[in-house]
Amino acid sequence: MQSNNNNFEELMIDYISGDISEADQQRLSELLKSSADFKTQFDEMIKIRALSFIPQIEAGKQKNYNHILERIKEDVPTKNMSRSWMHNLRQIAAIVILVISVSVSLFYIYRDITTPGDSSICYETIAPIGSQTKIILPDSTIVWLNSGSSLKYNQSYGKKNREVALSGEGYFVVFKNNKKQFTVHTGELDVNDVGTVFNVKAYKNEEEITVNLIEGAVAISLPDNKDAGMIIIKPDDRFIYNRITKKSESFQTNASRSALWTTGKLCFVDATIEQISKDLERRYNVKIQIANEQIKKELFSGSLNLNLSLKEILSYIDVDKKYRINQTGDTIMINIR
Amino acid sequence: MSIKEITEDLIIKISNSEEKAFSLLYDCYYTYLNTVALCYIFNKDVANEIVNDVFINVWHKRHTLSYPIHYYLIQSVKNGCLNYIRAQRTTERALSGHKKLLLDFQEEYILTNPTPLQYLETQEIEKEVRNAIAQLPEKCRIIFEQFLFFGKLPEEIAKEQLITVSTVRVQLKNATDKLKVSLSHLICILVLIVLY
Repeated sequence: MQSNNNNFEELMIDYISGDISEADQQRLSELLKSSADFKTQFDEMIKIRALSFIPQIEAGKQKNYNHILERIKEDVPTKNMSRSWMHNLRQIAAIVILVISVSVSLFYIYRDITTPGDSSICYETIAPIGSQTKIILPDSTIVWLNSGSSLKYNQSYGKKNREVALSGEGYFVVFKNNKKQFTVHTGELDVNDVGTVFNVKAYKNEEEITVNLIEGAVAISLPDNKDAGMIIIKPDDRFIYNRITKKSESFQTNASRSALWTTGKLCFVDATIEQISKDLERRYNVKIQIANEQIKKELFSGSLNLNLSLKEILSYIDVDKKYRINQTGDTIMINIR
Repeated sequence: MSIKEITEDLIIKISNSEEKAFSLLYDCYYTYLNTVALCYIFNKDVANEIVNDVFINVWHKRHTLSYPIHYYLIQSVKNGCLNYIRAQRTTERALSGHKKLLLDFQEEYILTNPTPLQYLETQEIEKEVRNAIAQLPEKCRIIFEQFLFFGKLPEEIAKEQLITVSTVRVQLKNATDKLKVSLSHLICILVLIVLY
């Protein structure tokens, strides 16, 4: 208690002088809360301190009075006039600002109604390599961006329609609104819906664009191939579009696995090591090279916890100790033993 | 100068724009109100500014003053301190939660302490305080005065006096302890003074 006491007084000295660290502020406010004794001490110290100032205050009294008189004399003759003038000025300023802001907002509202979709201001959110980002769009739609991805939408988002452009991988929980269609543009492929949960993977450096539907229904369209029309997919469907062959296919799968990355896990079903290494590259910001053609064809299933280190993950992949894994700088070489 | 000189007549004179009466009110209350403000605001310049605003306001509103004026003055100082602390909280919103807690505590303190110090006949007390400070051991007194009157930080005092910061702190604590003893009768007397 004694040491606590000393401590309290030191903390008070620092606090009164205005030079107190954040940690000490916390300690002081905890002490003050902890017992009424400290509050009494606080009270006593402050009063003693205030009393100690009396000689100094008395000494400056006359000088300060002159200062007050000066201020009063400065204020008095002009006071009434300047006050009312200032008052009027404030009112005028308020009206001017109101008129300007109303006309500016009317201009924007009108413009957005008449020219949908081409508002000039564009928002972009980027999830850098190695990190993930969660975005909440103006209509409460939630988007998780996987590492190395970006999402763009413009100012008119949510006014007449809801359009976003995705590069990379995103998991969408779209707020239901039957009147305003939600569209994800990926360049080659558009995903349209009105309120569902789905995952879109469209990294520019990968051959395939994958759409996994977890809930509801989405319609996929290919802007470059109008003949294909709308392809409707159902929950637990996976839709894959190949950028090179321009062919698409869809099949049943456990789609919710595709969204596991939002929880810090990676899940693979019959994935090649090449596909897995793409995900690992983005997550850990490394380059993975597979030196052997045979390894590239091997298929893996399972889930990986992305909180583990890359080394640990690679050792899980190589459970049979078939591979030789060498790391030089940011490049990892996988070869057969 | 005594508080008993503040009579209804004096207030009426102030209402009639008699500067001499105003000056008398100032003489009686200036030091006291500063001491009140210093119980709430630790920076003496800020405290003084708040008190000055109260006096200037009294003059501006002199036509509507009423007697007694004592609680009006104290309340005005308290409001000035509250406004300052609240403004500080708004401007320092980015600060940590603990700073906020301390500001909360201070605000609570202002609101719950009806009068921090009962009215004191400042001239008499001035002598006592001056003596009490003069009787502090020299080193201790110098450090205390540097800290209190010149608003220096413990670090600055340590550098000037060529001693460690912890020594400064210990000396400040000793000074406070000694003053607590030598001025304790004042605190007791203050409570016994009955106003009006």
